[in-house]
Amino acid sequence: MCVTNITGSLQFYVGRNTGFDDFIADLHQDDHPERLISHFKLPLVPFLFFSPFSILSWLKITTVAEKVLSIKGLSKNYNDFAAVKNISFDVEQQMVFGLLGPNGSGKTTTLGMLMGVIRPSSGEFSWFNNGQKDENRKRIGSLLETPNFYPYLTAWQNLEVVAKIKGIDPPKESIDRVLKIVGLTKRSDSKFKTFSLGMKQRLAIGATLLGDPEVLVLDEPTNGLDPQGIAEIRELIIRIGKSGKTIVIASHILDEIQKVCTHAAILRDGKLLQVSTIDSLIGNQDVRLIKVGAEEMTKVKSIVEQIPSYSIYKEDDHALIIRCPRETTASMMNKFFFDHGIVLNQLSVFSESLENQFLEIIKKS
Amino acid sequence: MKNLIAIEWMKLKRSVTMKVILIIYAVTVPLLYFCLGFIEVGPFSMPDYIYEFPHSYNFVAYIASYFNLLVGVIIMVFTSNEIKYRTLRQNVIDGLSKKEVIFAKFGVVFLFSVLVTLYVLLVGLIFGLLHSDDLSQIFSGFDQIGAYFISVLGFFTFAFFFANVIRLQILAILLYIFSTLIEGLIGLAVAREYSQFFPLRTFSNLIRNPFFEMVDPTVDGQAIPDQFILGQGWSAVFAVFYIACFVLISYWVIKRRDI
Repeated sequence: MCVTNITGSLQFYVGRNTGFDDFIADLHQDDHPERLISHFKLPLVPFLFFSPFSILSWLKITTVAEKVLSIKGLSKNYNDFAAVKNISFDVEQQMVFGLLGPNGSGKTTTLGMLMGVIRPSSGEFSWFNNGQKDENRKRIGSLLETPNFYPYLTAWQNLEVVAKIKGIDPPKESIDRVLKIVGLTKRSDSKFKTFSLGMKQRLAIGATLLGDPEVLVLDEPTNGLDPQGIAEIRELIIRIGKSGKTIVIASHILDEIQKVCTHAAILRDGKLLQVSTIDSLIGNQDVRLIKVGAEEMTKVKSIVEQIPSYSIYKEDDHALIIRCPRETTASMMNKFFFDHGIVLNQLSVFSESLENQFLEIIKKS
Repeated sequence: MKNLIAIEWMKLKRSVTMKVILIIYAVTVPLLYFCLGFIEVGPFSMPDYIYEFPHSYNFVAYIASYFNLLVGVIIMVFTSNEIKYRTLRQNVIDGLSKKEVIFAKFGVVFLFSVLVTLYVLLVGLIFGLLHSDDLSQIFSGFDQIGAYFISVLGFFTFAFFFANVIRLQILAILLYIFSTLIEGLIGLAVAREYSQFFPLRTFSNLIRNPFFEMVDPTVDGQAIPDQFILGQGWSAVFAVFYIACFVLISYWVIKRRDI
């Protein structure tokens, strides 16, 4: 087995965390040689020392599940009003983490505290396992609420100020690159005050990308953009997320979170309701929802109620949404009702969106 | 600190307000000084020594002190714009600490004071060189330049303090412009002669009024008969104390505030 193969397969197994015992067990069933490699973490370190590439990969493995952000019991009170109540969650490397909640649920306040502009009333947080040090923020590209720039400076000059703060030297290449990404190259010498709302927002997103930071913190990033702009920025965020960066994104647009995030936390009235992966949030994977409609809805309903594996998820006068086992298909359902003497006039497989889940969670709590 | 000042300079160098005010200052101060020699009121005309060493420094400083408020407006606008445009917040988000933000701004205030003082020194020097026969006194008026520096730093720091503490820009500027008047009225109403310990009064007391000396050479600068007067030295001590207070309070306020 050659060394290049080692590095390649190590990358592939990044994130697996198997103990030494499993490693021994795996040794005995040696039918997948590349699987072995994934366990060469600690026991074979001396061996790996022979190749600098392997050491690099090994280091990669040990750092992969590193916490980028850890929040414990964070709260913010404005006089009598509690804007954020005792929030705790962790964001790990490479997550695209969504903060989801209606207006006024405490998303921006939370991000403001994390970015050092709002003083927490209690609780703590830590970026990069390095506490709340100011220098941490130089490693984060952040857009909070509105784009904030000097109106009398041009786009380029504004980015130059940001680059200088972030310690990007020389800044030219970096600034030109981000202006190109957000499509403002042609307007780089126009003053910020001449920009439209959408262009301001683009410039703010560009500023967050300066210096290629490890983490992006974005608050309503598609705010004020036209539909094309929204699609472009979402595409950009997905692309950046896939490139291995960690992103924390706040939004009240569920669709946005669903499209770009891997994980999400749901906030309401400053309280954290749920934290999970998007997949588990979107739905129980064992269940499928199928919408059926017919002339005789009462009959449909009574038939469904007789079948133990089916249940009614939602109903109205013209249709039912039936919760059924995952393997159920539309044609199976059609046949099932036909066999019971009912002709359907409506039939569709329903994929439950985050919207529904979100509303359910909000309702429950 | 060098890097922080460089950041501030990037923001400041393209400010139109600053350029306009500095040009007004740079033109008006020497022009007024030049015109001073032509003043004739009845039998009284200006003595020749107003342009000679060591008096030239004192006269320029005195004239320039009337423009402290104007140059202070640059500091005022520059500082309160950061709050108005929420760029102070953005600077912190981008990675500066609140401490760095405040002390970088104070660094600008300090450099501005140095700049203005050097200009006053230069004008005094040029007029002195053109009019003095005896150059042995060339350095002896320098203490007036030093006093001018502390005075200017005081006025600028006061502007800086107001801009940081009062979030509403227009209110901050208005209060700043009328602050000398307001302080004077408060002084008259409650504190009387102790009003000279008030900050703005302290800053202006630092500049000796050369015209008093002209009328009565026995009085030391600012003495008004039968009244307790703080000397220039003590004024300087109090002024430095006030400057330190203004900077520290600004820092304290910004540090505690959600920006």
